[in-house]
Amino acid sequence: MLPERIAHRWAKALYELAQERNEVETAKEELLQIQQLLKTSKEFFLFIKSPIIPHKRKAEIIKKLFEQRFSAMITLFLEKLALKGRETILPEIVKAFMDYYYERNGILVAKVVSAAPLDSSILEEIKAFLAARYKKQILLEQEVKPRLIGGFQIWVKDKMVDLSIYGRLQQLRKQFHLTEYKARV
Amino acid sequence: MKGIRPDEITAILRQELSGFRSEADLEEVGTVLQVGDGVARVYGLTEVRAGEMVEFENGTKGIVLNLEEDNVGVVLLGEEAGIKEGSKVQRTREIASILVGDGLLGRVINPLGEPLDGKGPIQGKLYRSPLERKAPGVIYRRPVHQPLQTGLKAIDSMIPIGRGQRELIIGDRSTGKTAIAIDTIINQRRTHEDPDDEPVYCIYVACGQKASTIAQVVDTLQRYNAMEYTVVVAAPASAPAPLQFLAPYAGAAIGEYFRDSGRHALVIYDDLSKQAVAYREVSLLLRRPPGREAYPGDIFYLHSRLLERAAKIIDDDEVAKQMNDLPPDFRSFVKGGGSLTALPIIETQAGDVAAYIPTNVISITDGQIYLEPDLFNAGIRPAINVGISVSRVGGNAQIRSMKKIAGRLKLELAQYWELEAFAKFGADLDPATMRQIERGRRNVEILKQKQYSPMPVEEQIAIIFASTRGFLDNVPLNKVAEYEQQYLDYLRANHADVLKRLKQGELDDAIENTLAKVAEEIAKQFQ
Repeated sequence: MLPERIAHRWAKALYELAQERNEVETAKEELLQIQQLLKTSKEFFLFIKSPIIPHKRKAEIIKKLFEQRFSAMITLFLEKLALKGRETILPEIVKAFMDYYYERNGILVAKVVSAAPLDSSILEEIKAFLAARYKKQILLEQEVKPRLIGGFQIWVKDKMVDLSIYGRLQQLRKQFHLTEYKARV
Repeated sequence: MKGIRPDEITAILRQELSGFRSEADLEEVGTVLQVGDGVARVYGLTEVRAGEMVEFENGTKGIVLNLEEDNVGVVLLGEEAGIKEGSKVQRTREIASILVGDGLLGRVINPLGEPLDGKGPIQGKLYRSPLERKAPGVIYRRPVHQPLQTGLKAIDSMIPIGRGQRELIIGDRSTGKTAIAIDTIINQRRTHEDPDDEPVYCIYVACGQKASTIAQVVDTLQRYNAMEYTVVVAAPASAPAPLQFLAPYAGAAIGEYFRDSGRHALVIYDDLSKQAVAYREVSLLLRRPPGREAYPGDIFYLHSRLLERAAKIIDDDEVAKQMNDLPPDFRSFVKGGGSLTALPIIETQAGDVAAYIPTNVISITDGQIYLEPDLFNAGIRPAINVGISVSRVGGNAQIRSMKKIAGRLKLELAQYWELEAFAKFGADLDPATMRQIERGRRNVEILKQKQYSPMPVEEQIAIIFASTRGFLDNVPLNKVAEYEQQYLDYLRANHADVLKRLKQGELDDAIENTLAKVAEEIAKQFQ
């Protein structure tokens, strides 16, 4: 089975458990921290992904790492995950949980990719535009990709509006490719 | 080289870019999860349709074949290089289709309609037609009633093919399957030259063939001036598997353009066993469950939906205009009375016609032409086994004069095959049996035909007449070919009117007498 599908099931179970215990917000906060940790600490990422360390050992280490810092529910969840041998898809589970959380709370995640960091006023404007269009609360993520040269792209799920120089150049290239050059000189 | 002026360059650039739109569109983009073996799994693209074309970052096109819960399976139609996990995939909102039109004639294209012959873009008005299109329904068809002359004596006399029929050519490797197809294409030249006949346009689909073989076929067609009414759709063995399995559909789409505009087309699928193999490859890579011989469950449907598209369309224009699943581009020119004839080719392994794919295609088609290596090696070429070859509907399309002659030929041949076994022992046979065997040998001899020399139907009738009426009985076997040559030369020179009437389907006593007289006269020279 694809990791995304497995992750979805784990995430849903965790979400429902958290809801029962009224701990959805803490769960979300803590998972966000884990996401951050996965991004910033290469050691932690490799530890999670490692196929060499036995699952039991991983569970013990996880317990030691998080017992004091995170709520009991999340620590237990991570331990269980390790014991079941599913800790390698932790990044996917976190993502699936966040998707589920946003969906349940009517939040739409959008992303702005730009060549250079954008002013907050522009970001606000984009946010307002999207909110009016989709009639939903918008959580705007920001990403900087110098490859775009200039302009920006707005992503909403798998839909994208390309207003970047890079995209324009790509389109231009396609145009040249389509209309074969005919000698008229 | 002439000097180039900058302002000219600017003008050309501007013209080339005149279609360029500067405003941004809403694009739908997915992300590659996994890529390998010509198949990509893509996340996102939630609104993509099955069969839609998508485009990867590196310009490679793909077709969506699997829609799953959280990802889609895409087969790549080109280079895999440059596509990696996380690459973006864009929807094109276009179902896999091909641009068809008269400009395709004389060209060699790939299954996506892109020219491969280096003669520049396809000229003339082009119409978009989907590769996968439903076959016309029952009320838009009429039974086959016009002949499609292959120019081969053995086929036109005993296994006649009608316009709109599907006749399978089946046999081992190098038994002359492609040769029959090529001869048939070459023979369609007559339909273009004869003002009384309706021209037949040809499409040769090379699927999984060696590129050198395809080049040879194109060269042959050019040499016999057959390319000007032929389109070659090439997906050589080096092409990605998806292109190979789409090639016959592209050929059918081009054929449908002629069919729906009230014209006649002949499409040759060379060969469908390789197409099945290509489809099996794609299916297994997409993890569809394998069945018998590891072919997927819908392998029968793969061939039946393709061959069902061969049809004879009803003459009534008004009814034809209502045809199901007409592409919008076609509406302007739809006419009745057109036809699409299909000659699929299947290669068997060591004569095994009971294998999965051969039995499937045999059951779909309206008859089959069996080619046998034994006959081929015995010098009987085309190596058609007329005993087990059949044409289920072509009889209705045969011209009357040929029908009269052919019945007798079939009977005599059947008797000959039965007696031939005895003759081999050199046993003493009574004169009547001996005569039958001698007649049979001559009949077999006149059915032999050189490659690339299709014969007009009236001449076929004349020579079969001479043989079945026994005028060749005293001509030595090794002189039969020479006799045929002289006999037909004489008829062409002195009795053109008789040949013309034969062609129109007439065969009365007067004609028979003339033919008999000539046949006898010439036979005397060989005794």
